[in-house]
Amino acid sequence: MDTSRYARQSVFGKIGIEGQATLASSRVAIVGVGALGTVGAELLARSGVGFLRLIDRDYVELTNLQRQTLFDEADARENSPKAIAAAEKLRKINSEIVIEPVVADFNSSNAERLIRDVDIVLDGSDNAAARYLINDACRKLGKPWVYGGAIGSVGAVMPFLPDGACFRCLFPNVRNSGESCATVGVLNSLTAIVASMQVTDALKILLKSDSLDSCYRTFDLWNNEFDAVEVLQDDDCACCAHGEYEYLNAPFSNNSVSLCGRDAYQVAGNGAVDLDALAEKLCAVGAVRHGEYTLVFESGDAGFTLFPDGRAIVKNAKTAAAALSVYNEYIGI
Amino acid sequence: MKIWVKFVAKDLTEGLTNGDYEVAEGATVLDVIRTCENVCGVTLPPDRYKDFQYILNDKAAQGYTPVPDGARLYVLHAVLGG
Ligand SMILES: [Zn+2]
Repeated sequence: MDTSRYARQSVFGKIGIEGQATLASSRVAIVGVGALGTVGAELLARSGVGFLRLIDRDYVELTNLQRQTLFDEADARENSPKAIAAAEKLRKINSEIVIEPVVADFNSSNAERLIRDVDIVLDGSDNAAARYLINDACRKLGKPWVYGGAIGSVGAVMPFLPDGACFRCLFPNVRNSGESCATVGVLNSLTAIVASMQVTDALKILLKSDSLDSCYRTFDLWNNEFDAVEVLQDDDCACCAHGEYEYLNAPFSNNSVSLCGRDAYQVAGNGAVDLDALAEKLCAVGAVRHGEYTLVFESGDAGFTLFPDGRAIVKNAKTAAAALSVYNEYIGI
Repeated sequence: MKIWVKFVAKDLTEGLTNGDYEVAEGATVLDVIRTCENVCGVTLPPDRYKDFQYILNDKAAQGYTPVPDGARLYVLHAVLGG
């Protein structure tokens, strides 16, 4: 390994040569490779973290390019899976580390497996349920994780250690308000800052720095406001005080349908699908694009992107039932 | 009794001012917010409340949680985009 790559980082006293070696042997999972996840993954790769697992269920679209820094127009044209497209870019940035893309929905059936062998989890998700699931899995397995959130010009970051306050101590029962980056927008400068702060916290945790605190940091970039709220462990917290892993223990159904935002629903499907065979069949009823990792289908208003594991993201669906109906009609369950 | 309040969810709480508020003994978190509304001459739409999270003396609290004298109350909302 050519150590000059990291010279500007290892000369920084809080990291040093020893810290750099620690980073090289560290393993990080990133849940969600969107606005926060791409920036976080790139910074960690450039920092020389030795193993990155990139977990994402989605594919690249043109609207992502404003802030999801690892993707380009070709990725959007091809609707490349985000985990794959990000991994390809990161390998060009740093070929000396191991990057493992996982094109999958992060859910209760795979959460523990996907984080069991990493040192820390970086949150790149975009909804409450995913954060509660990360929180449950990390708490159960004794892993630290770093929460990040961003919408409009408002961002928030907080690190969670295995023996401190957890996400449910902070937000015992938060719900998705219906606001999303698709409906109220988001500044790309904000997502870059939030992810940068998450990575800084992650490095502090990996290097066992005493500079880490247990503050919920929130800021409004447009209105020049910065706050830090100390959050203590709640001795009646369902997760960390009582060990109730409600989200991790929730049964996962193959036929589940979940909201992806932007009038799109994810249908989990019922196992692997032969994309070649299905593409041939669907050609007769609509437009089909069949790439290495996805099959994109459009017919009038109906459309979906199908992954080899049988999971589909159904576009222009107003309800979960409508998404399931499109899935049944064209893919079959 | 005196309670220190900070509104972190500014776009949801426009017109409400950070600082000390005088409330009655036995007041709850929601009583404190309503006092803030009265003092500042602001009426928040009721549906705003469901998006608020409260941190009272560094721990999560509910609207009905009683507030002790001299407490520090943060009113914030979760940021869930990414
Ligand atoms: Zn907790």
